[in-house]
Amino acid sequence: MSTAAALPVPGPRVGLLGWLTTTNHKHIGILYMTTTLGFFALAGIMALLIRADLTVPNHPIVGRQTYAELFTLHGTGMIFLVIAPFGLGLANYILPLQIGAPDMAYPRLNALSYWLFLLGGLVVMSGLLTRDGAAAAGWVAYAPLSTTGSPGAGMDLWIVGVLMVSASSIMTAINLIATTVLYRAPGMIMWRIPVFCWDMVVTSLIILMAFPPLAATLAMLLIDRRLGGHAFDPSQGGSAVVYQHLFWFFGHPEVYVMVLPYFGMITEIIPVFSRKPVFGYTAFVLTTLAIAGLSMAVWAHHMFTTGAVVNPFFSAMSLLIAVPTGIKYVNWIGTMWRGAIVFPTAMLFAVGFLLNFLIGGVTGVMIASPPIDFWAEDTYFIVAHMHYVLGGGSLFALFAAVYYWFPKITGVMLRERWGRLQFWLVFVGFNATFWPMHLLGLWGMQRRVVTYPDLPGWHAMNLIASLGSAVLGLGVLVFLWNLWVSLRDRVPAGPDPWGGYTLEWATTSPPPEFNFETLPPIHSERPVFDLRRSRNAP
Amino acid sequence: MNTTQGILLGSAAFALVVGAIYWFVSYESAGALMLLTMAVGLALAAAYLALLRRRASLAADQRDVRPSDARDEAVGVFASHSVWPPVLALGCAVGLTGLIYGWWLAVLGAAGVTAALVGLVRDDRAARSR
Repeated sequence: MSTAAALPVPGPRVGLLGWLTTTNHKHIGILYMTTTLGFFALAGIMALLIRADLTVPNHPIVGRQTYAELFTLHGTGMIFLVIAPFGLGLANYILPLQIGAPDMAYPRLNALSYWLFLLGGLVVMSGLLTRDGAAAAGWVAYAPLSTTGSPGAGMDLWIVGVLMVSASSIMTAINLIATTVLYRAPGMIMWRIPVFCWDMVVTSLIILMAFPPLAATLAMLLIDRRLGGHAFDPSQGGSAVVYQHLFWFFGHPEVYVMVLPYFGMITEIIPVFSRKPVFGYTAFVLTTLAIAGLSMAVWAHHMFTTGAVVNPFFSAMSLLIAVPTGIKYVNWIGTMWRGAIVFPTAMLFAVGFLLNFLIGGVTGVMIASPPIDFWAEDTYFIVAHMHYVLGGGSLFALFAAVYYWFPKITGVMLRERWGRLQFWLVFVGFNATFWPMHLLGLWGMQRRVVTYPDLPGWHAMNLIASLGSAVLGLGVLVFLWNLWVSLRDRVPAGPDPWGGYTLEWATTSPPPEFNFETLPPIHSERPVFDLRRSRNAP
Repeated sequence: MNTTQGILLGSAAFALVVGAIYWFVSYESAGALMLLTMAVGLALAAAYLALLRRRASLAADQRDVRPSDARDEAVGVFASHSVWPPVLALGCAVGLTGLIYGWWLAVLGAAGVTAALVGLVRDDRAARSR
C-alpha cells in the first residue's frame, strides 16, 4: 500500500452553498444523477400520457398539438437529459475512483458542464410555459418542420437548450479523456483500466466527433429561424436533406453514447456476481473501439427512404456493426459460464439487459436491410426497436448500476426485496408495453399519430401496451420508494459489500474528499480482486 | 507510440479509409467532409499527445511502477469549490435566450459570462499561488 497526495483548494463544505459551488467530482456525479432522475420522472409522465391517449382507437384525450409536444419532449428528455447524461454522471463519480485519481482533471470545467446540462434541460422544458407551447417537431427536429413549421418560441427554446446540453457533453468528454490519460494511478497502464473506463473513454471520443456537428446544425437552425438564414430552406438554395445528414452524423453515434457506457456498467457487474474475471478483456475493448468507429459511418441508414443516399454502403456498414456487438455477448456469456452466479437485484437487471438488448439488436439488423426498412419506416416497429435498445438495454443497465454502486455512493444498501419486486414489475411492464408495438408496426400503424382507426387487432395490442406502461410506471414508483426507505432506515454497506474487483471498492463508502488514503499495487484491471487473492493465498 | 496515440491514429486512419470509400461510392460532399474532418481532428490529437510525451512521461504508463514509488508526491491542484461555473452557465442560458426574447437579455447574459470568466481566471491564479 502507498499514498499519493492531492493538494485541495478549500471552500464551503456543506449546505446549499456547498452544493451550488462544488467542483468535487463525487458531488457533481450525484448532482448529475439526481437531475437525470428528475428529468426521467418528467419524461416518464409524458410517456404515460402518450400511452393513455392511445389506449382506445378514435378517442384521443389530448389535441394533435399537445400530443406532438408530448412525444417531442419525451424523446428529447429521455435521450438528451436522462440516458446519455446518466452515463456521464456515473462516470463523473466512478471513473476517477476506478483509476485511482483524486478528482477529475478539470474540476471547474466539470462543474460548468453540470450547470450547462441542468439549465439547458430546463430551457428545453420551459417551452411548455410559452403561449404557443413547447417544441413539437420530434426529437430529430427535421427542417422544414422545425423552421417554417414551428413558429413559436418553444422551438427556439428547444434549440438553445439542446445546444447547451451538447456543449456540456463536449466539456465532460474532454474531462473524462484528460482524466483517464493523465491521472491514472502509477502502474495502471491503459490496458489495465477497468472496462467501464474504457467504455467511457471511447464514448467520450464519439462525443468529440459527433456533438460538434450537432452544435453547428442547431446554430444554423437558430440562424435560419431568428436571423434570416436559409441553410435548410430549399427555396432559397438551402437543403433540408443536408439537415438530415448533419443531424444523423450526430444522431446515430449518439445511440452508442447512450449504449456503450451501459455496456461498461454491466461488464463491471456480471463478473463480480459470477465470481470470475471478465472473459476476454482485450476483445471487449477492441470491439468497443470497432463499434465506435463503425458508428461514425452508418448515419444515413436513418435516411434510406429519402432516396438521396447510397443505401448499399450504409446497409453494409450497419450490418457490420452487429459483429463486434455479438462478440460482446460472447464476453458476457463467457464470463457467466461456469461461474458461481448469484442474483442480487443488480445482477437481475444486468441479465434483463442482456435479454432485452438482444431483441433490440436483432430488430436493428432487420432494419439495416433497406427492403425491410422501407416497410417499417415511421411505423411502431421502429418505436419498438429503439425502445428495446434504449429502454430494455440502457434503462435496465441504469437500474443495475444504481443497485450496484448506490452502497458506494451513499454508504447504505438498497433493499433487495423492493429491488426484486421492482425488477419483475419493470421487466414484465416493459415487455408488455413494447413487444406489441412490433406487431402494430408490421400491421402498418404509423408512429407519432394522436389516434388510430379500429382495425383488427390494433385496439387489443394498444390496450396491452398501455396496461404494460402502467405496470412499468408502478415499477419506477417502487424504485423511488426503495430509495426513500433505504435512505431513511439506513443499513450500512461497508467499503465493499459485493466483493468488488476494481479500485473504488478499496476505499470507504462514501469515499473521502480526495478518494484514497492508500492505493494497492496494480497488476491488472481488477486490483482489489488481485489483492484479495494474494491475501487468501497460502 | 503509446496506447492512446495508437487508438487516435488508428481511428483517424479508419475515418480516412471509410471517407474515401464513401466519396467514391456516393460523391456526396457533406458526409465525406465530415469523415475527413474526423480523421484530421483525431490525427491532430495524436500529434499533440506525441509532443506532450516528448516533454514528460507518466508513471501510469510504466507497467512495473507501484503506487508506493509515488509516495507523498503531489498529484495536482484540485479546486474544491467555485461560484463561477454556475454563474457562467447562467450567463450562457440568459444570453442565448436573448436571441429569442430580445437583445437586452443577450447583453445581460454577456455581462454574466464576462464576470464569470474573469472570476475563473482570478480563482485559478489564487489557487496556483497557494
